[in-house]
Amino acid sequence: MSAGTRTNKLTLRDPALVRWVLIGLALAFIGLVLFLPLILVFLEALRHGLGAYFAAVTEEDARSAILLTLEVAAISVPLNVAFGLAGAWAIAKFEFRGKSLLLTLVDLPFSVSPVISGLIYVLLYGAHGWFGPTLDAWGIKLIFNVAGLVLATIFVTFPFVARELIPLMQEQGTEEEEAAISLGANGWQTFRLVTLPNVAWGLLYGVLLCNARAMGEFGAVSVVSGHIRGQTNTMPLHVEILYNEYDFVGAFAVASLLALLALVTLAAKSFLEWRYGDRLSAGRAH
Amino acid sequence: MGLQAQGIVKTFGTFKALGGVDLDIQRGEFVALLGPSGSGKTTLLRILAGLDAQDEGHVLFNDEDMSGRKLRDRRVGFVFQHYALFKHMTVAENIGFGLRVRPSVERPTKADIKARVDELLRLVQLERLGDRYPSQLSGGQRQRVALARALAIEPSVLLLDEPFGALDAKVRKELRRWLRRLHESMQLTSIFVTHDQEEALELADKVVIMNQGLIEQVGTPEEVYHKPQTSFVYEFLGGANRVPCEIRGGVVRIGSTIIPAPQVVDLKDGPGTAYVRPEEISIGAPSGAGVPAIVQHVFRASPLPRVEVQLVDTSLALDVTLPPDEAGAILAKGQRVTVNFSKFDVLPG
Repeated sequence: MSAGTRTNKLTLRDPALVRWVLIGLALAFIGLVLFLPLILVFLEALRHGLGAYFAAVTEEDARSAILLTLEVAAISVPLNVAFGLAGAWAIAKFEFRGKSLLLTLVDLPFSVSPVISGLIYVLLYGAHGWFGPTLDAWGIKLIFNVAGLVLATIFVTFPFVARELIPLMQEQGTEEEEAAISLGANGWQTFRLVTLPNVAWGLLYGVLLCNARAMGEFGAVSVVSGHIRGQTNTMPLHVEILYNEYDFVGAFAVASLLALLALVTLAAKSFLEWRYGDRLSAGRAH
Repeated sequence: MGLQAQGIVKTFGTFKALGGVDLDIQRGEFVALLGPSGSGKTTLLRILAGLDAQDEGHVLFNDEDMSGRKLRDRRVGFVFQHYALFKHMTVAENIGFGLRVRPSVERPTKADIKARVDELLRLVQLERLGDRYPSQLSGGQRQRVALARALAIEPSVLLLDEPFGALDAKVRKELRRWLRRLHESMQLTSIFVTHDQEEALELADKVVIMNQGLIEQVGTPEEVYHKPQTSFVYEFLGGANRVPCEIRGGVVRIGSTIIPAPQVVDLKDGPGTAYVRPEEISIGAPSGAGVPAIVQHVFRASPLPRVEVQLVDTSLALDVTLPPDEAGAILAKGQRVTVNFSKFDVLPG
């Protein structure tokens, strides 16, 4: 190593004091804002022992809230994967009029408060809303039931998959697709064999984020749910009700399940990256 | 397979990429589309392949109009500039792709596909690398995978977009020779795009020189090099010097020096441009006949010494290549000399 590069490295190195202060600040921040609350959720949930914890999460209303949350996520996540893939594919691989408008619309749910989006659904599809009477005449109810919850969740979680995929697809361009087509592949084969595998990791990440948000969404869901215990309460709504009724063990027990979901999501992502890391790097490098 | 382009026009927005191109390619020919960037050569190649659609005109394969025909019907082997290998597939999977995606009635069995892939791996000399991913290969190896993948569908015509553009000089030369042999042994009809004139002249049977969306000249390498027909071809091939001159009464006047030029007899009097290649200029003593000039630079770090001289009358700079025995050593910057043109052509304007 020449003297020149050595000095360079030294100048890039901050004094020990600065380094430790910065690292300390970062750790303190993470501890106070992320780690401590997480620990507290579990501590509060287990305050009266495991028995009380299990009783709280297996109680009838809690069980129906858990099932409803899973049901809403199971419907809205696949739909948003389909919408997200289609939207990202169109935006990234094709040139058309109104493309930037579509891109803005994809981002809309991020910029609108979830409560407002919920209210708008009520105004549009509720019993006294614009389309309410018409829908009612057809025997269709979209508010204060599962359909409304799914609708609100889809709206709020719409950008996750598309936003994850658009930059990835744009970066990859269309050469591989052209190569596939020139080799005789049809549109579906090209999508399935070339486009999809190239974005598989981004898609997985988008699905995990989308799912986490779908299960955790509060604002929009709260407006369209109607808070009917045992019928239209999802887990976050159930947590709020229990908390407002001073049932802290019950509230934190259900909250701990949501926190666990977040941890499982993270673990799943790390495991997949570790397990298929070589394929990942083979796919990324060009 | 014979291939024809008739009156191809293509515009991108307001930019006219191709302004009516006609081209006739015979079965078995090795054709270079040569031109500077923006000349439309890649656009033409993509239209021949069917990757882009022309606005006007027709593409004919064996006298059959291909307009509106699907890409898979054209059976075109296309090699992309940056290879466009499927990153998540192994080399063998890449090569077999074109066979695997065939409709089930035409698809070969798995064993047949494997045999064909092995054969192609041997052909491109990558026998042991079938299980690797493209990211684990060098540039030259990726290029050969791209070629094998294109050949797997037994294309009627092989189209290559800047096939050697992304490779270093040594690999490029080897691969060039290898591709030439491959073209001959497989009796392919091949068209490649390049901006490298050396590559085009060395490799192709027929060179198509393009400029600003039009074809300037089509011919064998010898024809386009020795008998350029347009001023663009003069300057683009062999880096000819452009010398403004006066044509009057069958003679050419450069500055105050009169130079006899037999072919000028037919030209009208008026301004003209003389095109003279660096190797067709000789340098003599200042007292001798010729156009007076001053040496500006001498470059000796090349196979043939190169000299830049400035004409005294017109302050025009010329590139001169000297034969190796005529040692450039005696020349020095600022020295007065005369230059003579052993061969040159004059075009009006």
